[in-house]
Amino acid sequence: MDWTATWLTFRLACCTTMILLVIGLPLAYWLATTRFRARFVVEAAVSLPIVLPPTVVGFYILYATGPASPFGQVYERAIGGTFPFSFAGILLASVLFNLPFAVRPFASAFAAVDRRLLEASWCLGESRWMTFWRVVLPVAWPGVLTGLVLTFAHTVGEFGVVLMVGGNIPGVTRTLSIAIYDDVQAMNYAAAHFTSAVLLLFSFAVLCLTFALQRRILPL
Amino acid sequence: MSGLSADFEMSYLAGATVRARFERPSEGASVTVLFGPSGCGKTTILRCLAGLERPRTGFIRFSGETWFDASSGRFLPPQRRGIGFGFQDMALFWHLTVARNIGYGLRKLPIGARQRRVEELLDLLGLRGLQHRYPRELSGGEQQRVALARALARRPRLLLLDEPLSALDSETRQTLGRELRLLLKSLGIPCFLVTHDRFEAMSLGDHVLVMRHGSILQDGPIDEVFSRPVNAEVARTVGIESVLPAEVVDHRGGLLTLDVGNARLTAVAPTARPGIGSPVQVCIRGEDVTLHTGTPEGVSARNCLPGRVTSLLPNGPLTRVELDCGFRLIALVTPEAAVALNLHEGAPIHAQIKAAAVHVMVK
Repeated sequence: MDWTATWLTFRLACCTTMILLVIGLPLAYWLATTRFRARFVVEAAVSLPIVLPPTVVGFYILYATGPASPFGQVYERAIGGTFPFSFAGILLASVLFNLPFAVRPFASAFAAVDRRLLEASWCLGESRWMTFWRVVLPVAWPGVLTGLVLTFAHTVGEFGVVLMVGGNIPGVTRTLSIAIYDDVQAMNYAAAHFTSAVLLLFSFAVLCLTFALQRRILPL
Repeated sequence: MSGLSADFEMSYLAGATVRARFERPSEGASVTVLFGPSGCGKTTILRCLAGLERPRTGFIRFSGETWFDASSGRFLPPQRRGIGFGFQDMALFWHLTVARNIGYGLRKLPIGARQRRVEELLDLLGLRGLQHRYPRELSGGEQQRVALARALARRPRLLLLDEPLSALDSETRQTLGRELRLLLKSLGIPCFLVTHDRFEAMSLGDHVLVMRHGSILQDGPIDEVFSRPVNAEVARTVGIESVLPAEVVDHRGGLLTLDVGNARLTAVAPTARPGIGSPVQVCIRGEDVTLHTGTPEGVSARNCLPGRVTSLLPNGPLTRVELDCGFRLIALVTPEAAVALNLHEGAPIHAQIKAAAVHVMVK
């Protein structure tokens, strides 16, 4: 087992999940409640990573943040080095690529909250903001939890986009799934097998946990 | 005008338009019923008063405050109207206990005061002992009490209730209905209540706005509207059993003689005197019709019509008897009376109606 890669993967998954919690919740709430007509455009954009090959997403991130791009030049002057092939680079790729896995469960959980409950809260003097914290989130939290767990698990298993944007630098961008790829290329099947089995068990356990939590917490 | 004064129009994308124009005092415990069949727009009016819907035109004012005014663009959100709203399906917060549901709107009170207020409401609505339960662990009647307690907790200036008894079984509906009437009277908060049930309207309301197809047809004290509707449409909406076209044949001494179908009726003349030969509508409430098997003698009722029973149907606690006595007349009698008179289809019968119970509508 490659412990450096394990630790890196864990850090990447945690950071991605946290960032998607912060930007995903408001985005999902907006999608679930807005009367904006062109909402479907935003929904489609959020869902793109589900259908796009990771190489396409990776390619555009490289294109937009590489040393030749305006962003890449500003980044190089301010921080030094290149944005791709860094932890920040794969983190951005991971956040973008996981957006639908967080936002879609959040949004469907929010949309399922009975509108009467929100209206009842408004009539009891609570603002829309307080209503979100006191009614929407407590009622929708199994869906929010599902989104977070899926995001975490999906980031742990992410391969293509991380390889495109991050390459394969031990301790910086070499995650577990890339380590497996490397091991297989090097015909180191025993190590590849072990890591694969660990990821398989981890993913299965996480999904079991999600479904079990939802069963027990949701009424009816 | 210190009360509630409203004149607005609300239209939906689908094309339906609801118009409302009324004034009600805001002092005292007057209960105004918005009455009409489902889909007539009564809930829409209640939601506009609450600020949950925004009318297209017009205004809503309450106690000197402007809640909505299309011309100035002013719209006070529901949070700032000081209302209590009771939803038809109760809309209790199922993730919170009874006590937390009731105290939901009291977040800004210090904890001690909040607890005291919740205790008061638990006592007022007979919910003591249930404060730690969740809504799903309560019966329908208990849930409705929690919903009421929650709406009352903030001492609203106006209470808006959408079909408060419709989600309950008939027995609970009756007991809670009686309690609700007493509660509304003792609180002294003006209340608007939506219902499509005439018994609920009559047992809870003081004043009624009869609605149909998005408009208010009649506005007045409930006894008056339910016994003296202004036109046939109101008469049918409030559920008066017999509504019939008639023609005036004579008019003397404050009494009218009318031809209704193949029969002749005497009625007390309405204030708007219809001329002889003019077409009018009459309505007769089922409970104002008395049935006799023989020819009654020595009675005061001016109308005594021979006829036949055409059908018998149970109607709540009463039996609805349809008669053919020159026109189609409905009588409501007790099931015991139906048995005692041996009523059955085709049975010959005499129907008696006092002249004062034949209500003549000129429009």
